[in-house]
Amino acid sequence: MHMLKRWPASLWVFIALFIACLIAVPRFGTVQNFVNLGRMAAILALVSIGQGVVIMVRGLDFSIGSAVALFSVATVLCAPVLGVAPAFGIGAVAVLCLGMLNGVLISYLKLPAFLVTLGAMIGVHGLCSVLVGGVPIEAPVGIDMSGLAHAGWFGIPVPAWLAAVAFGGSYVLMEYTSFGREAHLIGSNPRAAELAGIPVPLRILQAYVLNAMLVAVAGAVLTSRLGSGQPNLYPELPFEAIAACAIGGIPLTGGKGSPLHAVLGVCILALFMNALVLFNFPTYLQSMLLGVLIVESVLVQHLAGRFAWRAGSAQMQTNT
Amino acid sequence: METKDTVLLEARNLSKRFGATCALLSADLELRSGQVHALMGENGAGKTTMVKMLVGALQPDSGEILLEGKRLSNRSVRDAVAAGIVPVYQHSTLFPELSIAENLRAFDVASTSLPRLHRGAADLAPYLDAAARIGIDLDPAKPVRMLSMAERQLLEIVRAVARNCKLLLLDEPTAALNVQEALRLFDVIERLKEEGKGIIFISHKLNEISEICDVVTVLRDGRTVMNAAATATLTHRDIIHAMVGPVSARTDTALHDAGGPCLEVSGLACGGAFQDMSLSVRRGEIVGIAGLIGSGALEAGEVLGGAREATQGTIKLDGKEIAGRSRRYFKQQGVGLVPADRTADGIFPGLSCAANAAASAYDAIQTGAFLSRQAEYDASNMLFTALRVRPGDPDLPIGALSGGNQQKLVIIRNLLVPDMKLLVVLEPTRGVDVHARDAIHSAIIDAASKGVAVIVASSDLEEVMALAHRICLMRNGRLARTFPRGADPAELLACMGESDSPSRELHHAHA
Repeated sequence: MHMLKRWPASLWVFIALFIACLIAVPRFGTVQNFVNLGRMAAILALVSIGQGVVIMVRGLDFSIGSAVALFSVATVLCAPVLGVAPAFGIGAVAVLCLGMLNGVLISYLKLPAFLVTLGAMIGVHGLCSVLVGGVPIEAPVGIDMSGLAHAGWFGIPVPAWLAAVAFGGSYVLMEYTSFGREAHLIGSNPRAAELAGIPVPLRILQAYVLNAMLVAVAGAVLTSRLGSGQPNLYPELPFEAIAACAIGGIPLTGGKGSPLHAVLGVCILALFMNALVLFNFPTYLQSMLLGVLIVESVLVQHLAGRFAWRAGSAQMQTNT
Repeated sequence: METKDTVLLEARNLSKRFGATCALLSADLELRSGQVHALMGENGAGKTTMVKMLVGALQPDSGEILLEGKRLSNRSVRDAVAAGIVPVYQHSTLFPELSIAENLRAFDVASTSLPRLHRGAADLAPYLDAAARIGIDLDPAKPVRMLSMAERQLLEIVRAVARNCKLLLLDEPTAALNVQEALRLFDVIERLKEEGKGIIFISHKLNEISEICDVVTVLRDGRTVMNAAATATLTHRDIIHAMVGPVSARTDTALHDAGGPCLEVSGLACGGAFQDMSLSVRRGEIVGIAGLIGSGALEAGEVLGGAREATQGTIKLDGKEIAGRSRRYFKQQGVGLVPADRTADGIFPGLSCAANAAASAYDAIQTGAFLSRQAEYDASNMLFTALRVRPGDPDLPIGALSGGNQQKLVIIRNLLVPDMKLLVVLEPTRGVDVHARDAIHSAIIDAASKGVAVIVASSDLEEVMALAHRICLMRNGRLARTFPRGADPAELLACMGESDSPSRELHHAHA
């Protein structure tokens, strides 16, 4: 059947891991733990979907950790003057501007994404520190920004709903619109995409803007949760997002994968971390095992890819 | 001086496959010392593959390479250089920010596995000797970035000679040189000959071949078709014959009559590639642009398809000026383009056949904002059948198909360009099997019969003759002559081989 696409391999990994956790990990199958899991995974899912779209067009974005910090700083600084809702708007505009800047430099000026976003990561972190004078600032007493992070709907926290909506929307966008199809083509072979008449720089810019929108949502949730402006809000965010994409099966070479892969990567990562916490592993051991998980999943995909390539060429020879 | 006429290098029965394509099947080469040996062939003939094997960058699937009777096997580029086979490429391998002296020493450093101290000027003596021997003056302190392309090339040759190379491989050495610089290079080559070096000279310029090469080896479709023939006994036409192969004027396919004017090109030029091209194509007409590599035929096709920017002139499509716009704009005006290099510019590896086929058609096949897989299948389905794509499963990744079937998909993609007025096809059937060739030819003729103006730019004369209403022959960047359908192939070949380059006359004046 044409419409039945093959399910990603990471789905089976996720299911296997989930069942293993249910059986082996103490206190895993409780409602409270699932709520915790959802809360933890929501932020990472939002930004990993965006990162996945950018990686699809052969890009990268290291600046998202600084971007969420910028959101928190801008919002907390503006809230006493403008009120809470407009302040969140300012935060979002700041993050979108950063995404646009990255996107224009990478798409139209053809600068390497690695360096542009690395520069943005360092520079924006510095900007945030300057804005708050080097120390995290708390929102003034009487200004409550916690609504977004702590509200729930049918017992499910709002951040998880946001992540679900982002996933659904981006999945349709990437798989069932010409934007998504063209993003795949660009990632697969940019020169051929250009010759096929696809507006390559525009699509790359759009990918970065879409990423920035999702990062802004993540920034809003984080700011709401903490109620403070922090230059060091979440420095590991870009690396966790890239790792989630890699685990889910989006290769850095572009052209392959979907938001489903990104979300599966996040789920595997979150389950793994959650299990380590419930087992009471020390923090440093958690990091070590996480590193092993990332490299091992890339290795497995690499080997699987080589195997598929062999099978493909064998098939080709029988055809001719 | 070493004795001439001993066999220096012998390659026997070399073959190499890349996936489904055979780059080389049973190619031979025999080079004697003190000989300048031309290696010729059209794109895809297997020249590059053979050169890579000689310099150790590729290993042959079968066959052997003997240097002075000793078999070379499983080597790296470093081993080849150590054995005395040194390539001089178009893109130099020098370090522009370092001085000549440092560049010359660089390879001494690279040849030892441990770092060591310079011994000052003594190091340079063999290099300066070698330079003097072949008539080159060197200032060791000068930085390489201040040298011209020609001087850099000579520096690389000096480096090779001083390191006692036996065989120099010059890959299109004159491509970036002016006439005087080329003549200077030829003088150096004469001296190298006297020293008994073997030289493999790769060039598309026939004049140069007859001027400085002793013998010619021609590859075609992965085989040696002319093996070390003496240039003295050959005319340009003989060499072109060998490169192009037997041309039979098969014009048995009936073509439809052409309609009204569609494309008007005047005074078109693109840098050094071609100049002063004027051409008009009518609806339903197939115009062939034929020419050897370097003639400007393919470049002209690229400019007409919007893949390369013209530096001068106008392109009017249905009266609308489109020169100087992006490839996207060309497509939106209804210009299809099948690029010459399928692997680099054509296919989307890793994606399905349907996605590859429908890539240019999204504007036409989406419903509202949405584009379903089903729409991709539906758009390309009929053409999959018409062009007999095998295997015809649209979900299969394109990498699983043979080269011919991949090319069919690139053709289908362009047949799906919405409101197509002009279809530009570059090298429509390079490296594809005969069945795919027939299917692709029928598809092109079919497109023309529906009123599309078609331009076929190809170095394959037979193909152009079979397809086109008329053939524009390009030579040295200009339209040399236009032939009607059914013209005598011999006449076309003769026209291809005519010389109108000034270099020959200049050289005689110089001598």
